[in-house]
Amino acid sequence: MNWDIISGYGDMYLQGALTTLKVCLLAIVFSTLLGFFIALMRLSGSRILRGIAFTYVWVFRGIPLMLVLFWLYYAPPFDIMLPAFVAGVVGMSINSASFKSEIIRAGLMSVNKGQLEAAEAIGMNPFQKMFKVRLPQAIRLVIPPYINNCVIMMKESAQVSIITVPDLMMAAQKAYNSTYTVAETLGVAGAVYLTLTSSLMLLQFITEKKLRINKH
Amino acid sequence: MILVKGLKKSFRNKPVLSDIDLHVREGEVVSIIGPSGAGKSTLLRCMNLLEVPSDGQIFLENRPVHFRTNRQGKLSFRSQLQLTWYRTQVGMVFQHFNLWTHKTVLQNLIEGPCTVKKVPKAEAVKKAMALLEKVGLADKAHDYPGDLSGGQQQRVAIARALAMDPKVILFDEPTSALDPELVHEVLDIMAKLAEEGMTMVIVTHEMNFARRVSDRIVFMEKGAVKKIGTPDEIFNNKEDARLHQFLRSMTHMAG
Repeated sequence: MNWDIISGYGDMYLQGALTTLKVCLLAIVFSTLLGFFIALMRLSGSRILRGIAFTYVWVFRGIPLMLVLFWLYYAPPFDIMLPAFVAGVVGMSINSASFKSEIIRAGLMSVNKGQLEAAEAIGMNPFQKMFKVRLPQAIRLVIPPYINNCVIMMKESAQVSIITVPDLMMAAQKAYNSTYTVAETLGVAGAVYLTLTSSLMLLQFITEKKLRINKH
Repeated sequence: MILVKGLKKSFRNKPVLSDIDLHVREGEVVSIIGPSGAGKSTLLRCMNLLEVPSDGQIFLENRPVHFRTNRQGKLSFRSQLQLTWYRTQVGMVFQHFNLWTHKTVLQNLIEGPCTVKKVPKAEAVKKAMALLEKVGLADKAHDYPGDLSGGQQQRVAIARALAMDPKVILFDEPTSALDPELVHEVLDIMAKLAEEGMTMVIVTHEMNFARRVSDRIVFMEKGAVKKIGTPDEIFNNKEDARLHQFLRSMTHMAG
């Protein structure tokens, strides 16, 4: 292990890791919101909304993230030129929302019908029913698959380096290309990725523990 | 109090309820009995619009209840938003309790008042504690429903309905899911409520209880009301062979 190489690229790695984190966090937030609405559309009474949501999931779950990134950055629709960072966040959000909507839909559907009827019978309107009864229960159920999806996102975010976003993967590539050492460049990047994904797993552990319904 | 007029319900063109008329007066306890599949629960659920009647009218204290269905035969979104006034005044107790499992007993009781009626939390808590005292579960206020027995859960569910200050409470087979030795604790509370003058509609298989607390009993069969009368009229009935046979089979089971 040559520590000089590592310290020489330290700053670039730090910037790269921050960019990766930023892309991921933003994409997680947007894909969760988008996924939630798509899930609602798929569960709605309107055949049109259901059709749109189904098509969305079918298309974006079925095509590679990298293709979406290429399309948004190199061949954007309506010639809207997006900065690489924005294209990266949007591409990942679009891609991941298709998976997250299915996770969220499963969670919403698994909430006991009787408890929803009780909410209705007590006079809650559809919004209160959703936010007071349905979501709080669904969240508990979807945490494991949801975090699972976020971990995958974090790793897949390496693909944004292809469209020139200066993320951790790009830093690692640059460092490797100019030193041809493996452990000090790719190895260190791997360790940083592992740290980032581990923090998500820690988050899962904490939230699951916190939301557990006391059963002694 | 509650007036049901010409209520009909069919599922996929299969009629389940045909032309039900029922008038429940203030302070009255009405029990609905009948063989399974008679449409008792469906009638009760229609009265709370958990099932939407295919036809007919419902009035609460002379105010008509408006409801519309969407294409799936469920309550339309707009109706769901507009029925709060009705639902807050008509309480419901379910066969399977349907307590919110992610909330404590106390939270279950204050959720309706705080969220729907916008009662200040401190006030709701005070009232909830008094109600828990009444159903004998004040010490369980901070437990989760999953930690309670079936009988205790149903008592909480009754307290939850009471917390909304309803004008009438509908009971959908409230003891059918309970272990036999837990049935009485729920029935005791219901009898106490009846004594206090609460208007109640009860779908039940507990014949002795129905006979003891009801002002009137409704006998249903095949989706229709076959007979309405005082407990004495119903239980001493001789002329209606089907009712007689039903009551004999029920008492035989209990004995």
